[in-house]
Formats: sequence, structure tokens, C-alpha cells
Amino acid sequence: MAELAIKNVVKYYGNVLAVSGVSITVNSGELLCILGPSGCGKSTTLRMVGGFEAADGGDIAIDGRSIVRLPPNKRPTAMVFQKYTLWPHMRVWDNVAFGLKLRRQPAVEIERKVRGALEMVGLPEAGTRYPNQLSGGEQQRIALARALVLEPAVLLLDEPLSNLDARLRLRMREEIKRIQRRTGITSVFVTHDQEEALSIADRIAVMSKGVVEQLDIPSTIYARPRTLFVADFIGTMNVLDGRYRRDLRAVEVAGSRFPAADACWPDGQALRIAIRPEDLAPVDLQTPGSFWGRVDVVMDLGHFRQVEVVVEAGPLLKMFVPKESTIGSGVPISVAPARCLAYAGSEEPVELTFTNQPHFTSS
Amino acid sequence: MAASINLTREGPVAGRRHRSFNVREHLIAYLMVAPPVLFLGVIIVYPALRAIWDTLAVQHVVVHNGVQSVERTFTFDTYTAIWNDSYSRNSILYSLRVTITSVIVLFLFCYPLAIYLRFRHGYLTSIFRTLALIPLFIPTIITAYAFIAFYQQGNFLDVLMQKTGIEGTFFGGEYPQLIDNTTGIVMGQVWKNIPITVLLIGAGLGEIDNALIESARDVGAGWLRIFAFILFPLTLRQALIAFALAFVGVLGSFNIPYLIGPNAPPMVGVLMDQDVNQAEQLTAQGLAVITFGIALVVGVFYVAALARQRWR
Amino acid sequence: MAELIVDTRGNIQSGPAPRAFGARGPWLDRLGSRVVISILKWIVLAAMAIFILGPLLVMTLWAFEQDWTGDSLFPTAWTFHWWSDVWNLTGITDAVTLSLETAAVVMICSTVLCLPAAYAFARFRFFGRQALMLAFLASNAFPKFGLYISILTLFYQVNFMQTFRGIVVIQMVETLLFMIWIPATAFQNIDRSLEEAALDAGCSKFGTFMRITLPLAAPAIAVAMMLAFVAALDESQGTLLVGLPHYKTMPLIMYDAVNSYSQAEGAVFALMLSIPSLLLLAAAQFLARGKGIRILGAT
Repeated sequence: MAELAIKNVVKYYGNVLAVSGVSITVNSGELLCILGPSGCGKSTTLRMVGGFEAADGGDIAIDGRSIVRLPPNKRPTAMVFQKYTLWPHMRVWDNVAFGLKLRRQPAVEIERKVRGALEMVGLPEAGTRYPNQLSGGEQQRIALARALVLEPAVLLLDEPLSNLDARLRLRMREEIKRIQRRTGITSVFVTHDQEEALSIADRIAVMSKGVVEQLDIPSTIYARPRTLFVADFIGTMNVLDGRYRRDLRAVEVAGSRFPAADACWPDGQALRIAIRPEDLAPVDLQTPGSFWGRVDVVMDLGHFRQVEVVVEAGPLLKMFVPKESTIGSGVPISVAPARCLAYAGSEEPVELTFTNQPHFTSS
Repeated sequence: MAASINLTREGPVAGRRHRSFNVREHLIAYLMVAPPVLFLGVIIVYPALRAIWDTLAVQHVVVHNGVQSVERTFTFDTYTAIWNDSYSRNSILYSLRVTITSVIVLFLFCYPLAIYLRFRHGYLTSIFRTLALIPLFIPTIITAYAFIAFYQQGNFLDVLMQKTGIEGTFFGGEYPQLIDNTTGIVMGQVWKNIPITVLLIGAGLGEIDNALIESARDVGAGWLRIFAFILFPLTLRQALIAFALAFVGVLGSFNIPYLIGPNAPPMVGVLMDQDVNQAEQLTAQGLAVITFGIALVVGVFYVAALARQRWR
Repeated sequence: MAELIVDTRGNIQSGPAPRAFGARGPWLDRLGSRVVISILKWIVLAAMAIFILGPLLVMTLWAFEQDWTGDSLFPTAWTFHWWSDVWNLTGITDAVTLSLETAAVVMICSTVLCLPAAYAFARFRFFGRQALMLAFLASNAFPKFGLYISILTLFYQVNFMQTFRGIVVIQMVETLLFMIWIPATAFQNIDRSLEEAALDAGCSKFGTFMRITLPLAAPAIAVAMMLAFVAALDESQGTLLVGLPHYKTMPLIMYDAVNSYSQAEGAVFALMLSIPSLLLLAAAQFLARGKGIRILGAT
């Protein structure tokens, strides 16, 4: 039950700034995900918390106590690595008990704790086996047990599910969430899978090129991405170029015009318009305030369908429709957005809603 | 046994784990590396430099006004003397011949064997593997002696060939001379170097993903093509190291040519021993420098190939 | 001719029988390539077995032969008396003991001297790392004969001539290269995260080395040590120059064996010299058995 404060942390690789001024506070008992594409600095940040990389600037503190100068073996953190990293020459039991034995805990205590940890991850019988006799998912769970048994103040997980197959990944992330809830350990989970982050995180820090783009709860990240990068990275997003026309009080996008009465941009302001597929819906052909084009591909995604529309003015739009929809490939179609986000340069986005438009939400 | 040391940039600290210049780490590293480096410096580097120096700046006694003193003159005499002496010259050329022959035979045998061991698994394969590794643990003196026991005229192979009639049919009733002969040296050197060569090439092959081979077979490549365009290029580094090791080892070898080789011409190693025993230190050192020079030339190929790989 | 085939990795393929590895062409296919390949394999195996083992086995026979005329393939009678003969020869027991002692000491000293360096080469990036490694490789290429005069001069100055320590030093020279190279490769192949995980659990750097890195590298280090032992046993010329006349090792006796002693006695010397390394090899294989890590032939 500890609070982790990463304050303005900086890391150079040679001349390249890998992490530049990252500040994240993880509240006690929270599961925070650091999400981002490869090379964005998320793993580096996590490894700096764990002590495996030295920070070139800034501070890291747990419960107010700075740990940034401590070597990894003296920090109250425990890490679950991407590649399981169970020691192959030791049995599972010895793997989990390793840290406890180092701390010279009495044998009875060790016995109790190891058994408890193995039970918590659902592998009570695995103690006598060697790591290479376990499957990937089982090894990862043992790695988790090994980290938890030390009762760390902060649990760090470095893309622990990347090496597992898709189904296992789904099950394991629910396991991790469940265990984290039960133990209440402050945890930081690094991943590049935005679906993973959205489903288990209490809060998400989206990173790109060494900087935190947004730090928020998942629903806010999804609904109000603060930058274009976050908008594009999370979920599917249609991004179009547009322009603001002050005289018309409207935004011109892909040959169509949408009302933007309360906007305060200068005339001619270049905008990037981001529209969620579920915020698009088919309307009668040639309705004003809609995109007109032709259906290209219809994909059946289980309980809803994705329709790709090639707009006459050029861009490709993705739209979600109910699975009962009868839209076929090749037909002309008009689609209208219920809401969109308009990004002007690096400012916060402005949400534009268009009432009188039915819209579809995929549940 | 795993691959040779990776001297390229993609070493253990590659990619995301670069470190900024760390003085402390450098100091610890130098401290840890110091003992064998010092040992090397005192026992090999200094004497080697000394040998080069002594053979080029030859000492001799000079008398000035009835006073003896020792002077050094810079001269290539040592080396010209070696080259002009037909015995030494033939020895060097002979050694090169034997070395090149041995290494070629070695690779002709070991490459297919390594490939076989890489791609086949099973009981038979493990027998092959064990056989290939046995010579690693036999000292060369014993190798030589065992070869004499087996291949010498009048010994086991001779009797075997007589009894099975092979000698009569293929050799006209006479046993071919294998001991005290170049053939014997080549056989012995190949025997001795099989393990390390197979291990090195095998390590290189081990790094090649099966998928690379399978995709080649998928598009219809035959085995020769797969070898020439996939296996050989990707194992080039290890093959070069194996080649360099074998070359240097055979060139400077002593025990096998001494016990199994012909009396004349002797290989360089044997000649050097003779010179040392006859107190012809300078000639021995000169020969050593020449041998080393040849080895360096071979080594340059290795380093060049390595460097080219690194910057790819 | 379509069949369902399950290959060695459990994949099921159907279709015409795949061409066997190494199949040379359609004419072989027509002959029933499987059978021919099999026979070829056995022939090659037999040839290789004879090439590798033949000399060793025949030499072994020599050590036990009683009556072996030039006409028969194998001895007609067997005996152990050569062994007692050799054992009673003056100086033999001393030579054997000396050889084993120096080899053992060389093995240990070489390991202690080179292991830290091997770890440094594997794990640290320091200026001159590649150059030093190449220097080790290169220095191995300089023939020892050219070095002896300088080494001997040095030895005279520090009173190493005709001493046990002098012999140890001269035998160590052969062992340096692979005592650094093989352990360094082993260390390099140990995933860094395994060490990081140990640090994370609270282990000190040294503790991590002792509990994680070293055990995982142990099989390769064991191989390197055995090779050092064999190399030390084998060293003759340097030992001759440093040790004679006071210290005589087995290889020096063996040179005489080719000329002065009988074949059988020579064979006994040879076996005495090879038995220790073969025993070490067996011991190492045995120790490595339970850990799922094989020393020989691991790929």
C-alpha cells in the first residue's frame, strides 16, 4: 500500500533523449498502465523505477522516500519481466523462495508464504517441477508469484503478456487484475496493447517519444484523447484534414460542412478531425452534413460489423454498424458523424457534437 | 557448445540497454581483465617482441682496439639466411602445403558432418556427435602414438588389409606408406581438429532458424543452393574462426609432424625444435616470426570478414 | 504417391513422400532412396568410427598383448605384466605423479586467473574489449619455440627454472585462450534478465554471480577446465626446457617410448596419460546429467 511518485525523470542513450521529463504519480493500491508503441520509453521508465537503468535526471520516490540512488536489490520494488526469467537450474519452489531465503526468514514462514503465493496464482502443485516443464502461461504466473511473495511496496510488470498467445493473454490479464485487487499492491504495468490497458488499468499513462501524452482514467482516454497521437493510438479512429470557416461558422472536412457555432479558432485554421467509427452512421443519400461515397469492404467482427467507406473526396472512413445491417459492398452511401474531436495544432481538442443524427454504439 | 564470442556491436549490452560512459564499470572491467592480460604480456607479448627485435637488430661481438663489446646492427640477415638455406626454405613451403591440405580435407569432412548433426536428430546422430568430439580429450602425443600403432607398416591396418585381400587388389601387395609420410600428418591433423571445427560450425548453424531453410525449400531450392546461399554465408564467421584456428594450429604444430611425419623436409615446428636444441636461437626465433607473419595474414581475413559483418 | 507423414516435429504433411535430406537426385529416388541412404549412413558411420576410434583401440590392445605376431589381427594372448613392468621402471611413478599434479594445478590456476576476465569480456563494455580479445587470439598464433629463449631468460632471473612453479607457468600458456573464450561465451548466453531478476529479489551482485550466473555457466566452464587439464598434460617442449633434468613429465617419457621402450610399454604410457582426462569427462557428463544441460554436443 504505497504511493509511487515519478518526478520529471530523464534518460539519455548517448545523445538520444529516450525519456524526457516524465512525471507520473501512482496512487496507493492503484494499477497504472504505461501504454505506448515500441521505442516510446515506457520500458525504460519502468526499468528506472526498478533500478535497472540509471536516471539521468529527476527523482523517483516511494511514500515520499527517494529511491533513485538505490541499487535494484535495495529497492522495495519487484519486477515481472517480459521473458518469465525463472531460473532454469532451480525448481519452482526454490525460484519463489529465493528472495525469502536471502532475507533469512525462518523456514516455517518461507513454507507458508511460498505455498500461499503458489495458491494465489493457481499453481499449488507446481513446486517440485523445473521451469522448463511448465507452459508459458504457467511460467509467467510463477514469475508473478515470485514477485508477490516478497510483499513489495510496488509491483512492476514489463509487458508480461507479450510472449503469450492471444487467448492466454486474455485470461492472464484478468488473473493479474484479480490478484492485484486482492493484494492491493500498487502496480505499474507496461504494455503496447491498448486493449489490454483499457481493460485492466485504473489509470493509463500514454507515452510517445519519451513524453507522457495523457494520464487519465481509461474512459476519458478513450472519449477525450488529449492529443492526436492518443486519439489515433487508442481504439480505431478516423482522422481527416479539415479547415475552419469563420464566415460560415462551420468546419469543412472532405467536401462536407459541419456546424461549429461556438468555436474560437481564427478563420482558415487547419484542423485534424478525429471521428470514432461508432460515432458514424448511415443516413439518407446526400443529406447535408454527411460524407458521401461508396462502400468498399464490409467486415463481420462478431457482434457488430465494420464498414469501410471510400469517400468521394478521397479519404477512407471506418464505420461500425449493427450485425443485422444489410449494407453491401459497392453501394453508394452517405454517413454522418454524431460527434467528433477537432485538433488545432497542439491545443486541447474541441469536441463537436451534431444533434439530430442517430448514432450507433457498439456495446 | 555455444557460439564463439560475439565481438560485434550487437553484444550483450545492445539495443535498449546502452549505458552512458561509466568510469566505475570501466575500472572494474580492467581490473578483472588484468590478470590474464598481464600474464599474456609477460609470457608471450614481451618474448614475441623480443624475438622480432633480436632477429632484426642482431647482436654480435665487435672488437675495437682490443676491447670486446656487443653491438647491434639492423639487418635482415637472419631472414635472408633462412630463405637462402634450402632446408629451411623447403621446410616453410612444405609446412604451408601440409597446412593447406589438412585444412581443406578438414573442412570437406567437417562441414557436411556439422550440417548433418544440425538437421538430423536421433540415436545415430548422437553416435556421430560423440565420435566427433572424442579427439578433443586426447593429448596430441597420444594421438601420434595411436596413429603409429594403427597405420604403421606391419601394424593393425597392414594386417587387416592383407587378410581381407585389399592390399593385394588395390595396392599390388604393398602397404602404402602412411607413417613417416605427409599423408600421416594430414590424417593426424584432421583427426585432432575435427571436434573444434565441428563445434564452431555447428554453433553457427545452430543460430540459423529452421524457417530460413524451410522457406528456401518451399520455393524449390535444392540442397546445394541452400548451402551456397544460406548456410555458408550465415556461418561464415564461425567457419573463418575455425579455419584460422586450424590453420595456425597445424602450421606451428610439433608433436604430430615430429612423430608421424617424414624426416625431410620437416615441418616448421620440428625445424624450430631442432634449432633450439642446436642452440641456433636466432634461426628458431626467425622461423617463429615468419610463421607468425603467415598466421597474421590468415588472421587478417578473419578480422576483415568480422569487420564487414559488424557494419552491415 | 501420396502419404500422410508426421515429421520429427510432429507436423503432419500429405503429398508425395518428401525428398530425404541429402537425396542426390531422381536416380536415387528410383532405387528406393530410403534404403540406399540408410546403407550409406551406416557405411559412413563405420568409416568414421574406424577413423576416430581405430588408432585408440589398437593402441589399447598393445598395452595388453602377450603374443602378437605379424600375421594375426589381434593378440593371441593377453597379459597385465606390461603394466607392472612400467610401474616398476625408475622414474615412472614420479613422472606420472608430476604430470597429474602440474595438470591439476594448471587447471585451477588457469580458471582462477581467467574466469573474472571471461565475465568482464562477456558482460561489460569497455574500451579496448575487442582489441584485447583479438590480442588473445593473435598471441596464440606465435609459435612457442620462438618465445622460449626469452621466457627462459626471464625464468632464470626470477628463479623459475627447474621448479614446479616454472612448469606450471609454462603449461598455463596453452590454456589461456579457451579458458577465457569458452566461459565468456557461456556468460554471454545467459540472459541478462535472469541476473536482473536475482538483483530484483534482493541478491547482491556477487551473490547473483555465485547463485545464478556461475551455476548456469558451470557446464561450459567444466569443459574448459577439462580442456585445460588435457592441454597441460600434453605440453612437452616447454616443460622439457624448464624442467629437465630434474623434472620429467609423462610426455617426455613418451618421446623415449617411441624409440627405446617396447611398443607395449609405450602403449601403457599413453593409456596412463589419457585415463585421467577420460575420467574427468565421464565425471562431468555425470554431474551435468540431472540439470538438463548437456556438456557435449549441446546445440
